[in-house]
Amino acid sequence: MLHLSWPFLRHLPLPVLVWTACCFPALAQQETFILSGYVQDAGSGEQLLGATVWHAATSSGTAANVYGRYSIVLPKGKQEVLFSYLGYAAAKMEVNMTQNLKLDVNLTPGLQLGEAVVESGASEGIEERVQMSKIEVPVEQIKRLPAIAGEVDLLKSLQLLPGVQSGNEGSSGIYVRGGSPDQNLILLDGVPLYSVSHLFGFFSVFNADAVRNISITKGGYPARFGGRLSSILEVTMKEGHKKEIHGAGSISMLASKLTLEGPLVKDKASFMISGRRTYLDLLVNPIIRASSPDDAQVDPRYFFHDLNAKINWRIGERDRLYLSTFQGVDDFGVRTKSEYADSREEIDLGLDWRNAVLALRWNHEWGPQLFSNLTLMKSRYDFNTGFDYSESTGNGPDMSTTRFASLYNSGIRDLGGRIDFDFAPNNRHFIRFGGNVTRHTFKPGATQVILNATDEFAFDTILGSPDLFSTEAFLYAEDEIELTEGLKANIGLHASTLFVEGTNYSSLQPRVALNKRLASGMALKASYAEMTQFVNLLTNEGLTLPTDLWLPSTSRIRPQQSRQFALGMAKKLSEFELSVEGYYKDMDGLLSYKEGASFGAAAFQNNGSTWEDAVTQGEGTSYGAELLLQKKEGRTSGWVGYTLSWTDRQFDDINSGNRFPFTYDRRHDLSVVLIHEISDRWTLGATWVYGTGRALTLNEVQYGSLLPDFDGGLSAVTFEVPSDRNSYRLSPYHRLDVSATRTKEVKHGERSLVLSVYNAYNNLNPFIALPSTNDQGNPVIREYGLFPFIPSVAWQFAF
Amino acid sequence: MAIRILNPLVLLAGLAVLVGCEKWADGVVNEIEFPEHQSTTAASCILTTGDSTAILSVTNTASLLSVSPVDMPDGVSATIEHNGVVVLSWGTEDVGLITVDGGFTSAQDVLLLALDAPLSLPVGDLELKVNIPGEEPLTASATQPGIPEVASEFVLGADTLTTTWGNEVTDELLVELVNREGIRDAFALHFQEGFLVGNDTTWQMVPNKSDFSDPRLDFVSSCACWMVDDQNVDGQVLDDLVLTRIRWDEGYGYYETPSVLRLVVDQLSPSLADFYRSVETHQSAQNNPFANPSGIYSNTSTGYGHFGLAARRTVLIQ
Repeated sequence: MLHLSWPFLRHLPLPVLVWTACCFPALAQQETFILSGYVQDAGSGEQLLGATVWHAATSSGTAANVYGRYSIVLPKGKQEVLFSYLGYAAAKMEVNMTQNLKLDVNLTPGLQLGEAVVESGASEGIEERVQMSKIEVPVEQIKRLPAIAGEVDLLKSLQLLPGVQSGNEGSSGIYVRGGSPDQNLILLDGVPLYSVSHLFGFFSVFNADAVRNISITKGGYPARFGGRLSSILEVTMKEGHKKEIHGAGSISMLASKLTLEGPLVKDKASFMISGRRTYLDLLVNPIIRASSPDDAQVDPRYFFHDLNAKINWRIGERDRLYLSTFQGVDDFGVRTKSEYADSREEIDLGLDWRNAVLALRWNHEWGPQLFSNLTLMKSRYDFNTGFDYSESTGNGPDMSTTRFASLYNSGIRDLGGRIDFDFAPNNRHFIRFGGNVTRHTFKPGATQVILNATDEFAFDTILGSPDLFSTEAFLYAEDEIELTEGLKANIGLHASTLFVEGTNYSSLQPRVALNKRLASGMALKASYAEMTQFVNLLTNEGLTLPTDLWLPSTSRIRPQQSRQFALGMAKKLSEFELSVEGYYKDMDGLLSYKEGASFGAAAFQNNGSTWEDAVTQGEGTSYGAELLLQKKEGRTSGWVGYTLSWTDRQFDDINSGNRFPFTYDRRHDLSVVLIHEISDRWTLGATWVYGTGRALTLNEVQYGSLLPDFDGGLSAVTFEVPSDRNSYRLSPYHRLDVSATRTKEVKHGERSLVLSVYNAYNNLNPFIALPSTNDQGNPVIREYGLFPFIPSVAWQFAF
Repeated sequence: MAIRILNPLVLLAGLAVLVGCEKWADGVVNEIEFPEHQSTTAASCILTTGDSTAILSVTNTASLLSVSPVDMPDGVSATIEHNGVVVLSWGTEDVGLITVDGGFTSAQDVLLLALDAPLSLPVGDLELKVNIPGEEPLTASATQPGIPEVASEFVLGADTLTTTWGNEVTDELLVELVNREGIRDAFALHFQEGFLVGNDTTWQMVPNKSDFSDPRLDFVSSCACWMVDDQNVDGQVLDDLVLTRIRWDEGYGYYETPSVLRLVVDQLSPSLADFYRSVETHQSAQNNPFANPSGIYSNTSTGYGHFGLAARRTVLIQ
């Protein structure tokens, strides 16, 4: 019996009802009821997203959604249902299904998988999931990995996964399956984040203490996601302990952080707030001030801070509200003040960038089968740089001031809303549908120039590109369906559109993922996904900088598009999960600066042309194979990831139109991650990475030529011309990081001391290549490294 | 147990630091090896009607890591032909010196032909052929344009700005050029002022504050000129191109009054326009670590060097 328990369902579009009725005539043959509810942590009351619900008698199961809610159809009568989640003891519940039931299940953390009573098939293992190319790494595992300066970095941990590559040494940027950083949709509680870097990309903005879950999807994208070509990175903030106040904090060589969480109304509403700040400036500035001359004061500044906060409120049996926010600021610069007699001079120059997101989400259960989430969101990224000079002479009424300032600003602002529905008509279908509308405001870069010399000679003007507005919307529908015994599919369609400058782009993107379970227990998986991207990051390939510009597709800039095929196998081998995947991705509409162009050229156009004149569009391909052997639990855990890949680009205006390797075309990429608990007190962690060197272009050939001079004659010049694009390679990259953590239980919690060493065998890895001369005075091209052996210590506490 | 494991780790870490001290000191990881460069010939020639000399630069190419500098090979000769007829030729005896990068001390060997009369080349396709004993001749083709039609109007004192330092006066030169439909028209504009030194007039670019918002006008430093190119405005009238000259009418230091002003308009062969633009882009990228690297346009058979032609019209203003 198909239960449509809420009148709304009767008004569902006819095709949905026809689809459901046609596909499942068997539904009418057996009386069934629906068991639904939330799976949550017994201690904190936090929902466990992705928890597995398994009914052995019918060999059917489901997984809780991202809010921890599940819904499963069971036959009439007494039924045993098993609830499980990684790192928690499984719970077997007996329910008497004589009507639709609601059951919230509490799982107890801390027990290892081997100690829990788990029946075969109870857990939705890697071979069960239809979704391929998706990897989740437990945050607790990430926290035990070695970290530079003791500061755990979630994005750098993801760089250790196959198919996910790092950029330059130390960078937290990620390059997924040959894509560029702008092709990653980074969602913090469902809201896109446009800049995820602190400290010029050496750290990401994600504070591990505030994050509950992180996952990355590299291909086979479900229809509910769109807008980027290469990956979906989902970061979910903690909700906060619902029963009592808890906290955690740390002091590392780079920053300190503090997280507090607890109930606002016990078992109904909770909060989480987490802050982090660096303090290099606080330590160094007094020293610099003390060494400054008496008549001058130098105040350098560099700091970043971020704040995560979240409130969740269960406002009824069927409704929950979540309000989450993130604010991050980097500020880098120097202010110099000096005095000479009655003249005072002040120069302030620097740059800062700031991120802010705000999300309000409303969960509503329309009935046991239908669940919705409405999200209202706001996201903002600003980048400012420039200088401000002022000079004052004289005193009192005779004082005169001259000011000259050049202040550059760029950024992006989003306002949007999204609605998602989960509809589970039975155990063979899980249907999701919904839509999204986002209003983008792009600031492609404008410079305010202020000159105030005298009353007669002053101006204040703004040079640069005007703001750009676009509206992006999409609708989607997908069905995770069990086609036959052992054959599952996720079939969906994502339809998106963009309105910009009187131009409209539309795109229909089919998504298909298949999972065929073989008798051996191994699963064969395949997927096909088309993606369209309406926003672009105009960036230099060598470095990810805050100067990078977010820009929309316009009447002159067509959207980026990709098609990706993937084929793979997955199998659980005892406590290990093994997956092997091959993929092929082609991309079109990729954006790049033209040869010779850069941020400055786009930002300070001086002849009426715009940033669109500084860029060109082209295509790219990426293909390769990835292997991941992962062990998530036990005293020894970790993974081995290996990627073999090829990635190239082709632009008519670059490299004479010839195809060339992408900067991050990395033939081999290997990561080994190990975490071992020696005892209850000591844990060791180690990561070793190896990667083919980055592709780069070098000046290669010199010859003599002629150029006109300003006197109207000709002068001889020597040109140094570059090689074919990216035809050279830096040396291979390899590095070992190790850490040791000593944890001590104390009266009100625990204390940990983390010793870590970055680059333990001190292999100075190449960061940049520059011309130089050797000891014999001959010209050479030298690679220079950045980070040697760096030991660090951090102290952590939790209560 | 933990301590027993940690001790060797600490020792290893200490060893790593000691081994790596030298690396840390200078930050050098490695030296990148270049493949052996097969040297070939580069030839560069820019000829403008009215020139009193014809200069051809011929050098070998070399790896950037080469110890010896690029230089002119021995025994170089060259010709320029129009429809199979030699219109200009350089012999091995025409070796001369020109300054490097506009400098006063260094010089480079070139083929330098002093002409008896101002240079005049037939309009149409010309071919440069450079012969070096024992090597394949280098060839390049370019199209000699005709003398450009130019109309101009000079507005003395078009604008005056009063500043702390005195009155800044702007004179404007309005220029109109002929833009032929379906044909690439590119022009190099030089607005110059002349100063009488003895019996000679020396020319230099006027101090200017030209309208940067006109997308038709680009200042291109590689040709020390304002460039007008019809690539995006083919066939449209190129009028009201505003070149400016600024001057101070009082009180701001020494300012010599020029004896005459002139507008020099070179109609460029497309290859020469492409060369100037590519050099501009190349030099911009060379000086910017964040810019994507850029090559230099070449229309020679070896892929190095260029052959560009221009036809000049000079308009005296006052």
